[in-house]
Amino acid sequence: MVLQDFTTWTETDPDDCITVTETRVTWTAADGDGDSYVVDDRGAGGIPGDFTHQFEVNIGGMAYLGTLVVWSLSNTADFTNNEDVELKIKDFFGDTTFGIYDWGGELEIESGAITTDTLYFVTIARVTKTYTLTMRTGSHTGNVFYTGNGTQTGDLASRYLWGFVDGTHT
Amino acid sequence: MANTGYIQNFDDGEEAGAAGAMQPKNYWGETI
Repeated sequence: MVLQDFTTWTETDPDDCITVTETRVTWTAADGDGDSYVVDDRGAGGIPGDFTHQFEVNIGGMAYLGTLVVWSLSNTADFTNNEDVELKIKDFFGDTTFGIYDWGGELEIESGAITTDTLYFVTIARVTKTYTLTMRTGSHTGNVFYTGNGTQTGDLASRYLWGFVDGTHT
Repeated sequence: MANTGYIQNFDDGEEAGAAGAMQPKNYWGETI
């Protein structure tokens, strides 16, 4: 019922590509090197095992073969645990897709090509160790563009919630 | 083309069961 206030998250932005307001993180000319990001440290075990995260994403454009992260969980700040996961936005020869992947390579949920300059309402639900990604176009009541799921193994403890990464952790 | 875009209106669901709520609802008023 209460939206996250991004101004209370930690912004690191050496590329000066991020603009943060209470409800929105905007990136402009992000160069994809992964050194600019917005993250919330919730303390050890601060992210529950089961959750439903919902947000809206609009991709204005992607560099050819570019990659960004717009949502991610990790247990350490360096994103090196097998269970760390990220929602990547990837350009693949001109087609942009959304996909959930983990560091360990067990999890792979990937949408078809999206349309730029279009609002996508994204739901990421984790129940036990299964993730479900649902994307609707336009709003929370829009048509379902994609839904898919995948399952991890191992310990799912998470501490850091990432709102945006200019590039990818991996 | 440059990488541009935004993420907005992030509901992490953790306050969906706030006191007085009959059922957990998200920011958009939907039961989750």
